Amino acid sequence: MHRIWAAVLAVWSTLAIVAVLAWTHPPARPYAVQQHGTPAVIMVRGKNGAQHLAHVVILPAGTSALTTSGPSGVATGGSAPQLISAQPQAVTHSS
Amino acid sequence: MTAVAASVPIAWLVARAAGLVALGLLTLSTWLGLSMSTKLLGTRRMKSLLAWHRTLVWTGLSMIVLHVLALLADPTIHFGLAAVTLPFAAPWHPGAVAAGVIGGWLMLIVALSFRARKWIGQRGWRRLHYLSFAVFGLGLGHALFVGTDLRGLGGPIVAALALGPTLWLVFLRILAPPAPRRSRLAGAT
Repeated sequence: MHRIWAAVLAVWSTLAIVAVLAWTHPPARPYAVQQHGTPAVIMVRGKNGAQHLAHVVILPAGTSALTTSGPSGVATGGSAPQLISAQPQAVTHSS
Repeated sequence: MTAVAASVPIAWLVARAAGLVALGLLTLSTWLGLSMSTKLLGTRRMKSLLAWHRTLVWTGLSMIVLHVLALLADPTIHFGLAAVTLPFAAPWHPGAVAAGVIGGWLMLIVALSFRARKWIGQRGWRRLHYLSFAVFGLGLGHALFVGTDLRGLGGPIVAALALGPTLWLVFLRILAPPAPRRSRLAGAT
């Protein structure tokens, strides 16, 4: 009988610790999810008074803006710029 | 729901929890063994206490197996079979992981020695049983040095909780006068 009690206690203890760990240490969101912002359209007024509609991505606070060396898609009349994750995501366990 | 389940590193959490439970069971088993050795809990229920002692050891070993299987199943840390069964084969903290590997194998030897008692004799079994102290030390060291959950303040607290009563019982075992054997008593009377 004591074997059953010990096994039940061990299994339930493990499950309880798993639950506590999962509760207290929520998994970190993937990098791509963190970096994605909210797309929006704003009006930009140029020097000569001309107004343009510009597609922008509003990043969450604390994230660095990504820059590209190429011409803006809006300025050239093309499609909206795409947000590309420039850094590889390091997958590690968070404690 | 599937995305949430995929984002939770369940194997990693099970590995950590099983390791902690195994350490707890090993500590309880050590305390119980020393309490029996010092006759702190009396001599009446010795058979029942011995059964509990053996059960705690085997349950602890089962939790170590679960700990190892969960580490093997974890997709992030890439621990192979050699890393979890051979000392110093792990690429990550090889010394501290080896302490856990060696401790696990020694614990298996100590657990099996209960069954081999009639072949190795009482003296051989007792000598082999001294390995329990090595198992306890290696297990605690492994948990403290590579255990994710025992970093910071948790480590010293758990170490003090596990080591304090163990050291006290060891000193009691060493300093307390040995109980007279029945045969001596019978011969004296």
